[in-house]
Amino acid sequence: MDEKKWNERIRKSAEEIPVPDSLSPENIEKRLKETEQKPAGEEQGKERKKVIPWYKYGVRAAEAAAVLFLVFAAGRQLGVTQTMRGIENKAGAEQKQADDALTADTLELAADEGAANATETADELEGAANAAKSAAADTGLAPIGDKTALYEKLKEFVDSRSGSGSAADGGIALYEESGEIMALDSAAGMAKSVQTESVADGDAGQALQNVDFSQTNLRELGVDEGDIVKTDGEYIYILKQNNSLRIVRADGTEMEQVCELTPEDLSSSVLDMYIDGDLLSIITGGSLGEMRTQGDQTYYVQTRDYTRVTTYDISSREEPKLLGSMEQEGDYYTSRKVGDYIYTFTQYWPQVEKDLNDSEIMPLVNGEEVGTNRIFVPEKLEDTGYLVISSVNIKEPEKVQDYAAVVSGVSSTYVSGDSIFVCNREWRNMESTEILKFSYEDGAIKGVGACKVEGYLNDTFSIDEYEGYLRVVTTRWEDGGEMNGLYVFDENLHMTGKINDIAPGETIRSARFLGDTGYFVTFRQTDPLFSVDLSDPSDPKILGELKVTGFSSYLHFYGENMLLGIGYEADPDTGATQGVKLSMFDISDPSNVTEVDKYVIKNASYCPGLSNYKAIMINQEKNIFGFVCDSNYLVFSYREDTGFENLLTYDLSAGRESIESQYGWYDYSDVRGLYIGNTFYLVEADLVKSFDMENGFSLSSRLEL
Amino acid sequence: MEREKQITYVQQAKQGDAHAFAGLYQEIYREMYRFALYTLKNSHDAEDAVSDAVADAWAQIGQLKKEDSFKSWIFAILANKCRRRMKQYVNAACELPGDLCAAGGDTEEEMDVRSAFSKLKDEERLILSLSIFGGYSSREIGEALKISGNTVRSRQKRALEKMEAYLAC
Repeated sequence: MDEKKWNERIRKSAEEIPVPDSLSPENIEKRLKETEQKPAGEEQGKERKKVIPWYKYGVRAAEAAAVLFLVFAAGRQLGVTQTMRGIENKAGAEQKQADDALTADTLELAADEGAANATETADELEGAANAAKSAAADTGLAPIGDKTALYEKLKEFVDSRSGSGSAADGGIALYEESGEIMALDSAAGMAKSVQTESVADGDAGQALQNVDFSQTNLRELGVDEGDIVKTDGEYIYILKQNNSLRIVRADGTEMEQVCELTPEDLSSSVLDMYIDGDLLSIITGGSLGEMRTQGDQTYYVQTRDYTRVTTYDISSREEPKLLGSMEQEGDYYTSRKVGDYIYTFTQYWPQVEKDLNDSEIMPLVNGEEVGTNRIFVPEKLEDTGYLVISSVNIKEPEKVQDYAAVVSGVSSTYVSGDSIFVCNREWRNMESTEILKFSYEDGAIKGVGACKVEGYLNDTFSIDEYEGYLRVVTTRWEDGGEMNGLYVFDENLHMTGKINDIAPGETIRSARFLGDTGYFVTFRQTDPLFSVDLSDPSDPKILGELKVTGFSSYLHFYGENMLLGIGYEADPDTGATQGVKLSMFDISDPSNVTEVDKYVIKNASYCPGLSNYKAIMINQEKNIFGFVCDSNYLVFSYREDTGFENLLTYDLSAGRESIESQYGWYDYSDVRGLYIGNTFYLVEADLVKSFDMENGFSLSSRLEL
Repeated sequence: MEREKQITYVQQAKQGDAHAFAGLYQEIYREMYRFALYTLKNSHDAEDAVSDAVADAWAQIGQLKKEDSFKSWIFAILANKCRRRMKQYVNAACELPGDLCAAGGDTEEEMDVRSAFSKLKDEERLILSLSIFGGYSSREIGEALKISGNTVRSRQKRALEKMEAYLAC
């Protein structure tokens, strides 16, 4: 499939089509001269005059059961496989017995579940009548609770937009700061919150036989994320171009594919996966079309997008056994795994027609419409899209543990060890971001609050939670120029401190927080790396500002006193980028940070890891990190005395001329590097290569997928 | 248009200079129309959509902060117009209207490709149009449509495969 060629054909087919006269530049100019431009403020003024009722349906305490149910095993390494099976020896055999026992338990559970599905859950929820009304019953945004009311809010938004609307609309969705977004009592069990420390990765998977292996580079330690390539120290799991999952046994430099798994529904794509011991969960997405009629003569096709989480027992890697799956409507957005629970986030777009009966406004979770007691709507909509969040216990894979839907879209999410933050950016002006916080504590999901912060977040590292405090750095436009700010909020999202006027004329390029200290980089022509003291939430203080050339787009703590930056070198006079740059900063004294080494890859410009941190392989304990740069995969280590050392520069385009001509281009953003013990593996779209790390990274073998 | 010139035009347009706005529009109006036409499959609707988008853009250009991003900004407005329209009308499997002939007559190839394109689903046409006529990357399209870049890429691929299948027979 030569996509580029097809795109060309389509473009060519349009070339001769005449544009109507009314749209010619001359006629448009005439029209515009006759139209007065509306002054900027007017539209917003109109919005403010509209009185939008404040929805207070109160909290129905009968809605028991958590939105998200969490069980943490205290101290357990989350998302990391600790078992290493295989090699015949005593330890191995013992572990195998333990694994088998687990499998038996798992299968038993699956059998017991029977036809568990969301209806059952809903019944349980209704049934578990308890309780005291939540203290916050009368404040803040509660679930909308009524389908007609929901429809009316959506319709009002759609109608107000279809006249004058555009992608870029004014109005900021407001969840009141002090409000409790939702309060749902939990009837279900106990959970202990795990202490996630915001330290640098310190945990490679560790096996009984002391073979270490690399892990997905996570945003937050303890909160696992799906990726297209994973390993458990014995096998490598690969999502191949969205269509199948391959399991490859990796034994030193020898590799063998033992399994190829395709999703049940052939029209869906495999998007993400999680490995947990002998349980494999894959997330697939697809759409289903249904024919609908309207009147006598016309028909149309209604498509529903869905996302599915399917779990397999892979105690036999050669023959995975399907255990069960759950499904929710919407496009896959992201997911996380904490303990046994996978949290799936999808985006659902309702269809708002002239009439409630013709409209589709309730997403389905496991085939059942979501309850209106689970849909949360702000006072003022920014958009009609819903973010649907569900949780599933991989040991009960058919059952939706809990779910919620938040109307008005999402622009990014951050999941800490304790909370889910949903960020909604006002797109057009990039002027403010709304942050909603849900905590999961003792099994209950509580809407803790919401706040609005000026500016936009550069990426998920710009927001961080530590000991209940939320730290956020943003960039905003002010008086025709850029301005940056750092804000600290307490656990109810009340602002406790801020520094409002950092680095005017520059924008934030990267950030990373570690306990009481935060680092972030702004840039216009040179890069100040700021260090901030956050120990007093009411008084954040800038400790220091280090100016170096270029800027870092990704920061990673490397060892006790070091901070690694990956980004770009730039000309200090013009700001033009000159290459990809590695920087190592000594942060033993945050008020006096120094750059102790740097390494520039001249003229390089493409580094996909900088917009997707999961594409970076990094482990500071093993002292190794790797990433794609232009058409090479680079591996580095760092030593105090000798600085950066380039261990491998592998040309990904070598021998690919035929493939390149077939596809027209080749996208290296899906290439992943990983290591098991002393073997380094490079996973490309259709090949896995192994390299001997003890022998200068010499290429040892290759496996075609 | 060079970046400097574009920025100057945008600044002038912000001050109410219709000629400057028309200058920016001239660079991209054909692509805008083709985008709307291929997405909506109806020349009247496409004309309306472009017209509405231009009106909105003119009214709101004061809020365009990134002055070198006129094209992607106005395309986002246009894409939304098209998206809303698609949701509103009943898709009765109509083909691209037959009155779309070029002055010199179409080649059979062009007609076949258009016909195959029109058989795609709404969102597939929108995504392909954004990519081909709007020049957006998958990630940008994903951000605009609020789906992941991966979803965009796989839908794009599927859509093109469908077209290949349609044209093979």
